[in-house]
Amino acid sequence: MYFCRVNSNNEMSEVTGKAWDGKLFFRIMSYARPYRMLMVGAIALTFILAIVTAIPNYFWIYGWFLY
Amino acid sequence: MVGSCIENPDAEGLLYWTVVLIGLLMSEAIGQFFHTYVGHIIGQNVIKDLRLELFGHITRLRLKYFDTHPIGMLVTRAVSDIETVADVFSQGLLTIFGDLLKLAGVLVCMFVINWELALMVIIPIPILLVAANIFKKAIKKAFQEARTQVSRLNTFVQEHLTGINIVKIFGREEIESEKFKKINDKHKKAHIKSVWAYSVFMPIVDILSSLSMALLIIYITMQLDNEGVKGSDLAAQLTMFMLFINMMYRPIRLLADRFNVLQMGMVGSSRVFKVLDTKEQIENNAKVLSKEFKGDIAFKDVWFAYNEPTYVLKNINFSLSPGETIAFVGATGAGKSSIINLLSRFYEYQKGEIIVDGDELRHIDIDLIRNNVAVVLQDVFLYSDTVLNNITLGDDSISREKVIEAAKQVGAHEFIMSLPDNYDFVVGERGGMLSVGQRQLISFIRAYVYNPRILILDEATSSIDTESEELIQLAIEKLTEGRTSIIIAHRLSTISKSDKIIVMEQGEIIESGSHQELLSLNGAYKKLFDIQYKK
Repeated sequence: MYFCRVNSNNEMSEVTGKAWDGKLFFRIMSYARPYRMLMVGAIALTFILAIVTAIPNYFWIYGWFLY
Repeated sequence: MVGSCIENPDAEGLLYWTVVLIGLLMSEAIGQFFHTYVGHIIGQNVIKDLRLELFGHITRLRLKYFDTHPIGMLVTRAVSDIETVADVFSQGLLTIFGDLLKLAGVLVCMFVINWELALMVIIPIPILLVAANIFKKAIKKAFQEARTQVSRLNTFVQEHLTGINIVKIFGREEIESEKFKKINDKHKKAHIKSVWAYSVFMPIVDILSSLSMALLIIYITMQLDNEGVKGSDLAAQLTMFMLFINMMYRPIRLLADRFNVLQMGMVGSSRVFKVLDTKEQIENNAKVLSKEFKGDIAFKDVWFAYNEPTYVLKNINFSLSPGETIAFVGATGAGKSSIINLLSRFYEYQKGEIIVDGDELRHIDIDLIRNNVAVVLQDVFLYSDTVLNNITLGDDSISREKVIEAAKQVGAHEFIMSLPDNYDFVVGERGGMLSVGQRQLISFIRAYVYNPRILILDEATSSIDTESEELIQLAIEKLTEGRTSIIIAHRLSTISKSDKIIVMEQGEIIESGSHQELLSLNGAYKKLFDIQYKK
């Protein structure tokens, strides 16, 4: 018969209670290996953006309160 | 800088800093564009590779796996679960990294400017860490449940649309709608749970941000009593640290959002990896990687169970010389199709030996077997593609001319030429634009062009109407000519010319011989014959 055959054993991946699974995370990351140059570029850009985004705020604080 | 330019009017200086700030904001916009673009490119490339691996893995799984795992669940894994992995790269990981950097920048600045005030401001952080940890666990559980419900929904819709005619024939529309309503409701509840966890966390961040401000104000108020402390300095520091608090809690708020995405990707990927880690493949420990197939087959004391210890084949013994045709008859569930499943290596037998051209079946490369064994089933599956592509199955080495020649040999050329676009006619989903007989003829051409040494017809004539039967019978004779053939049929008229007929009952061979020999035995075969011919 065609009715729904889902059972909890097949469907529900076990809830481990672990909020962070490092092994799983690194396994996902391994798929980005062929694109490591793009990853490096993106991480570098993240650094630059973090600085560029913050500078106007620091300008404001430094210029207004600490000059 | 800006302050001094305003206090000591300096229009030129003010213009300079305005240009610098605009430049920085422009660079931020351009940087943000590239950041988003690159993040999505990485994400999409990763899921492209992962999906390819998953699909390849699923197609290599043994049939037993599909007996216990719904197709809708696998569709969810290959489509929507994988999609969440892309978000890990495009919206999760890199942005989390950026937010953490911003957070670190604010903390460093605060400590450099005034470490005492900085300490006051970060007092609520341990509470935040505890709350974040509870949130992470709650959100992970909620996402797991949400993904399960998505999968159930997909499975239900897929199965019910595939079997829509059963739903209509048995008038089950309302009953099934009711079932769907329940699954849909669970799906909604699972999503609401994740929203709930998220909704609780955000106000906690706001409360803690207010707590930081309150502690800051209390500390500065206490400083007012100290001698030698200027009120204006304290007011400046208060305003400055108020700004710092905003700068610190903004990435924290965003971090919760990003963590959602990351956690969803982790949950999705864990489900994808669970399928990828399934070791349900037929072991290919082949010693024989290439050989010329002749079609000599022998089953020796073969025992087989789909689920041990319930054996569906018990002590099966028979042999077949190259070019011979053997037929199996028997009631439904007698074990006829299981013999085919073993010979095609869809399932593994538990006891005995199957010898093909002198080699044990398990020692022959699976691809080699599949290239030399063709199976024509009762229920022909056609893709929503052209007649030609359904015959070649995308194999470019099979030319159109070869297909036309095969169709002529099988006797199907005329009917194909009567179709609107002939060989380029799109047959519709599952071949719905063709009759059962026409679909069967296409499957015969498919088997013919692949020129297998061993041909298996599994009740290939069962659903054929009397008009098509003659055409199909001729096609079968052409197909079986010169190759080892195994035919499973209910209609004895289609197998009476076979070299050997085996009668099966409850997984055992009860009679075997030629048509005449079996009739003279006056046993089970004779009984079947009488029933059919009395009709």
